[in-house]
Amino acid sequence: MIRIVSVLLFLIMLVAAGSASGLDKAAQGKARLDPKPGAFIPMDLTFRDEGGKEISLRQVVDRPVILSLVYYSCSHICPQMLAGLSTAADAMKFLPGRDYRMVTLSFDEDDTPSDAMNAKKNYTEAIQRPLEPDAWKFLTGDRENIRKIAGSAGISFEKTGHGYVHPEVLIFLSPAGRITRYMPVEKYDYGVAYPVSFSPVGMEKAVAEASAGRVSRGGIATPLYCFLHEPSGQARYFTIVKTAGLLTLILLALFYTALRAKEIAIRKKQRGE
Amino acid sequence: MEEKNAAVQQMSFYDEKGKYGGILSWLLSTDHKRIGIQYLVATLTFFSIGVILGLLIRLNLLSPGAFMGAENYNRIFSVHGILMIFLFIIPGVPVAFGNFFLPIMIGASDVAFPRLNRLTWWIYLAGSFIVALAIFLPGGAPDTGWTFYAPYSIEVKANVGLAVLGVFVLGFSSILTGLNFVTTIHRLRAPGMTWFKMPIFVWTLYATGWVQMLATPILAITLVFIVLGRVFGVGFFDPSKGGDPILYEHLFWTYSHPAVYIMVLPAMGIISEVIPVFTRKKIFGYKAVAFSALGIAIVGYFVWGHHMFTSGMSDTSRAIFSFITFLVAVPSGIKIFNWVATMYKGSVVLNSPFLFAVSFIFLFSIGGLTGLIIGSLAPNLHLHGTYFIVGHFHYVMFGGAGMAILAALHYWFPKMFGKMYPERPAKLGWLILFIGFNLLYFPMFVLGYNGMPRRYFDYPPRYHTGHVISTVGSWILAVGLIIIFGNLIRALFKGEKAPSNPWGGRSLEWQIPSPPPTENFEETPVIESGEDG
Repeated sequence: MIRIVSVLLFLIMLVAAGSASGLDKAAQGKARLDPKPGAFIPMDLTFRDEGGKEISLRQVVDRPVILSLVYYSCSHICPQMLAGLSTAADAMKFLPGRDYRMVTLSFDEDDTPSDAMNAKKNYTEAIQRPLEPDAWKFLTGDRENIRKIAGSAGISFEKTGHGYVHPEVLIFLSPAGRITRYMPVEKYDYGVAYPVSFSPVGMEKAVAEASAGRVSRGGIATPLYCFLHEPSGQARYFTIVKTAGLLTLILLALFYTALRAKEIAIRKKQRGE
Repeated sequence: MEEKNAAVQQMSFYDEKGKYGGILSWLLSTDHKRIGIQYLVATLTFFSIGVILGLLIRLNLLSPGAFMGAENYNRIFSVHGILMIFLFIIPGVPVAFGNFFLPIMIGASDVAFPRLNRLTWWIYLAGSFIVALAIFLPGGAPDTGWTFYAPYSIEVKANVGLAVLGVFVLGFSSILTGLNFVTTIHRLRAPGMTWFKMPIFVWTLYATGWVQMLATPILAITLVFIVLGRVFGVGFFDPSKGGDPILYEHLFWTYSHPAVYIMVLPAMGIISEVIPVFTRKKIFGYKAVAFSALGIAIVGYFVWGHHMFTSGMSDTSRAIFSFITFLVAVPSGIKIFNWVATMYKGSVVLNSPFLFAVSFIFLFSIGGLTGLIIGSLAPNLHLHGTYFIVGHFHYVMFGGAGMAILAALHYWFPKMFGKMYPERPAKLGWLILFIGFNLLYFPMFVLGYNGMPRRYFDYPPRYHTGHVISTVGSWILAVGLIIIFGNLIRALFKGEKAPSNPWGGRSLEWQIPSPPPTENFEETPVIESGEDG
């Protein structure tokens, strides 16, 4: 009876673990991209730069800008996109800092200027060309300002247990703060050192457009979303597997000990006779 | 020799009048010898069906589409794998030869739990029945391959649930057999039969027993997860519910790699019995051979990742798994060298059991060495999805375990059935089988190296020649098998009566009459010298 009950309990435990869902909620959740080409971003918003200095968007967006919204603790697609960006910056005929600026903003309000500084060191070092210090700004900010700029660009993100679900996209801004083009990450090349890449020619064209304030509206592909592959429910499965495995090992160790003990006892008795 | 004459008086276990008569005297018997023979008949039956399916696979590849459609092809190769792996080669040696000879070799009258032994046979039969249902019921036979990889196995319409349930039930038979053997070896050894006087075959059964007990539950829980996924929608392997298909592969191979050693270890035990008898020598390096069996069993637990190098795994884990894979080759190498060293300066008698044993060493070495090629990371990435794997696998399984089963059949046939078989047809059958085998499987290495993907129904014309050679090889191999089994079946009815020790073996089974009496020994033997002494 006890056995039947325990088997039933185990089954219920399994079903409970199975019905808990992590990823489907996340994937169908609020994170999305509603492109707003032609819209203006609020230039008065202030953020902190890598040095912790308050800085307004107006100060940063003084020439064509490639804006990317990521979070610095991301270990999934964000680093790949930024790596792709630095590779493209190397290959383009325009020089970052002189002809255009790259701005990366974290939408995680817990990210600090020192996180931003680490990211900056990492990705600017990947660029071989001589770079002036403000060519690529890495910003952090407070919750409200982050919401405002993301909202104005049509980007929604969602916090989950393990980070954020969000679209990966480059936004081109004219010097006046107008959104001239969205360039979403469309493809992830598995098994390649830099799985996300941007065409330098396409980037040059987009920078030229941004510089002239010409808005490109059509042909925005569905972007790749960045999210964690291991959802929260998974830990429960591993707990079940680990518990079952450990119990099996203990049981077999006991079995061996019992066999050996009895065997030695019998041999002793035989020798005694 | 005097023992032999004294023994002739005793009644063989075939003539024993038990509680039941007729067929029930077999089906309800708890005598380990009767159970062993029933297992032998059952496993060889499934083997023959598996061979026929294998021939059909080869027939299709001769001219894809001419004999069957792609869907049927998928079903046929899946069922071929399921039958051969789960119904024939995993249970194979332990349940048939282990059951018959383990108690005799350690001087016992039966296994520790004779009724449990009976139960395992019924569980085995129930499992086989469920697998058969999965094949024949509407819905269609599984087409997942024998590995049942998720998420396909969770979503496909075919009777995967039933097949998986069948394999799950078979697993319990395996666990209980392992438990029974381990207990028997610990508790029922005759006085004087110390651990290091045991025949090597017993050592390998001991190591196998532990692998069966420790690894099979993992398969069981994995298959339960599959069934829960199909029936209740529990998402262990479904990413949309928090699961992970890679988790399935990990769990499956955590069992299935040790299972390779369930198949091969007792086969190595057989070879370690046959080679010394037919070279008139003691086995070279007894302790090394015994401990290498344990070594293979232990290290074999930590190499499963090499089945998944291309499935998505960190470079660190891949490098570690690759390294441990090389480690597991060491104990196997020890065995090969010790067998060869045993033959050195021996007085070799070229009888059929010895021929099969030597071809085991040859073919298993090819299987093992190609295993090292695909165990290394870089070549694996190229070869993983190709026929190279199929070739390697069949050299290890058929060239290894299969050849050992044929060696055991010829070696122990006189003891099990009390009849001798003629040598000439056995040797002829061996020669044809050996030629057919290499024609069938060796081209697969070349095909795979050139990029022929495995599991495919069709292929570009440049692979045609290789497939033709391979298919012709399959026919030659089939002829060899027919001669071999025809010869043995004929001998069963028309063979001469076998003496108790036709080969001059030193282990205990040769010291009692052929076939053995029900209680094996008239009085409990006392062992004074053994394999090590």
